[in-house]
Amino acid sequence: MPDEASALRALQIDLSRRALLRTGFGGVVLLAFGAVLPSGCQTYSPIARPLKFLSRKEFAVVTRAAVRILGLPDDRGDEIGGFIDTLLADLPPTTQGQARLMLRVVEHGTHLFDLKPKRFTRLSGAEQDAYLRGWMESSLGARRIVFRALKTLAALGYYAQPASWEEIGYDGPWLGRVDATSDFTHEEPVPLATVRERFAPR
Amino acid sequence: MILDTGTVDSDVALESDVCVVGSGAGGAVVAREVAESGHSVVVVEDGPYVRSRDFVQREEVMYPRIYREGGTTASAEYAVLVTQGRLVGGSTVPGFCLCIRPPRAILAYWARTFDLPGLAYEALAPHLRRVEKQIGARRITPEQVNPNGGKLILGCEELGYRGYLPFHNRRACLDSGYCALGCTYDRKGDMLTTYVPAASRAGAVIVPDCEVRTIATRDGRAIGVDGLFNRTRTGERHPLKVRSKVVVLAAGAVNSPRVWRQSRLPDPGDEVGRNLHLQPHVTVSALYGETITGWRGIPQGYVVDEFLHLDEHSAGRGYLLIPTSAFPVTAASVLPGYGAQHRELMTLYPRLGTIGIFLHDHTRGRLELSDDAPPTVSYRLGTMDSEQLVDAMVRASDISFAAGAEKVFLPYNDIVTIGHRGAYQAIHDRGVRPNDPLFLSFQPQGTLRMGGDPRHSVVDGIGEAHNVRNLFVADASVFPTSVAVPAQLAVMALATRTAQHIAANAAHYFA
Repeated sequence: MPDEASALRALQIDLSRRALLRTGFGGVVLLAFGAVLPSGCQTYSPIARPLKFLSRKEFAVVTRAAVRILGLPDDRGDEIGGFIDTLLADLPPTTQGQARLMLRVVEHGTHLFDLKPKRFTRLSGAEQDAYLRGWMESSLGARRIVFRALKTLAALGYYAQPASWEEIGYDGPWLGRVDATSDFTHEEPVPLATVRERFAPR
Repeated sequence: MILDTGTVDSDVALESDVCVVGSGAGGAVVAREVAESGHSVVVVEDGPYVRSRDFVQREEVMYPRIYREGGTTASAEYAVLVTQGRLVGGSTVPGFCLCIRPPRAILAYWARTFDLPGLAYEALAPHLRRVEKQIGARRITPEQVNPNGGKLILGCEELGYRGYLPFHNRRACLDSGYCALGCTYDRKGDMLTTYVPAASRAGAVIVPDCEVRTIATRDGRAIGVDGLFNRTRTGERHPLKVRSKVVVLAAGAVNSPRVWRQSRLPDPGDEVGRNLHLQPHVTVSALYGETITGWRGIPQGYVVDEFLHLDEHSAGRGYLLIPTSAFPVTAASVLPGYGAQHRELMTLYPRLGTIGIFLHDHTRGRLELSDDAPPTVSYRLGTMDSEQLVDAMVRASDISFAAGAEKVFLPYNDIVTIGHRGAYQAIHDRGVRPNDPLFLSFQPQGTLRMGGDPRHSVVDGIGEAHNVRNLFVADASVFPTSVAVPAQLAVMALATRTAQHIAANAAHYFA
């Protein structure tokens, strides 16, 4: 897709400052919590593929969250994480910052919300499920927001990929498969000089 | 003509009789009508010029390309996701083509309550007929209804509920179903293929990729707009300055108030950005024994108005039920559940039928407007609307079972399943709370409302600002309440009326 990268700059994927920050007291607590969390990657496994945006730690969090939320085998995680990494790499810096913050809060929220000594990616699968369900069902609106954002990222990372379509019975786009074309001729845009000829101030 | 913004390499100054901000259902109509009356028009559009060859039928590509914020402009409490088109042609390009006239009772209520005698149905009818003809609106035939719509019809027939085959603005439709991602085959009568090219042929210029920041004024009169290009040859955000005798604001009910506020225009009644109606939309999904393939065929091919109660003496209440559909990413995001349950639900995707609830909301939200940031939507569903929504979920469930559904899935975060007809207590017990269920909104409206009293409205009955001369608003911002149905025809008809008023009073406005 030639201009996918530029188009993706507009994508906010539920991570705008409105979604995460302007959520009243709960959002403030989460934000403050996230700000004091460590961001290092020393204890996270190296990743075979080169990452464009995510750190190893963030990749681990989003990968684990995606496979648990979508109920997928663990071995699908890398391809989903890679797809999400590509998407996030082209987002505006503000949104990227929110994404980092969100993933950090999810990783270390175990200490705050579940009083567990282990971070999210160190929990067992069942523990991760219980923890993420806690976000989904929380009475705190800000936590439900984070869950929604994670779920949307996960859905984008997996169900946008043609490899996922067969198992859900989606037959994919018509484009290139169906002999149907447009019967309308779109106007070609004109250069600025042409517009100035007609509309320059007199 | 349409400007290739890839050739912009410096500051740009233009001059015209009329400058229109936005090229959607309101802006494109004004541009065409005014240009055809012989006046020069510059249209400034925030989004890009995207042609059908670029509608590639992929969600991850099209949402960021044609929707504002990728379709995920969230309200402050994340109760609603506001979905607005952002390209030449506006929200009509990724729209579902559903054309419903504004109800006679709503127009009568507006006319009576808001001192708007010109809005009587009979006065608006010629404009409605005109726009319907221009966009090729015609009634869906029974053969065009897809299986998802067929289930809604069947359920309503079983229960004796009133519904009808609506008008759609599509021609020789191929039934691909990709309406929401833009029509690859140009079979819609959207603004991109109707009013925009007509405006261009009549001499208007459309300037895409440019965000209007402010409306310039002098001595209480609008004299043009100032903006910044989003895309240029140099990569810099070069300024655009348009000087005109009339400005028409048609950037939609979220962005028109932003421009108003950032321009520091008068707002003596503190009305700008208030009175926000969103017509919240949620979906109820049902599992059928056979394949529905809801994403194929014409979506929204049937309308149930049994539960929309309108009269001339109140704003009315209730909701429409309309068949709707989603592609995999959206379906996975919106469908309830977690883990294996969610995955199992996704494997049932071809057998899921979906009924969309479009609430005629009384809730009045507002926009938080600032000088330097995008608007924030603040909207929390009121008690009466919450009750209506619960009622709607019960009715949609009942219709689904009457049509043969095996199970019904409600739109909460976790899976709430109704296993058999009548077991609806779970809906009453769960009720509605912020972002559970999550609402979508395709039709924000009311934030620069129309009225005869300048103390309680922003524009008058023709759409002209009470407190700024030669400034008009021509989008859904002007609705005094929710219009109760999809807004497209009402916006277009009102915009036609506004444009014809400007053209008919050229001596006054263009002197």
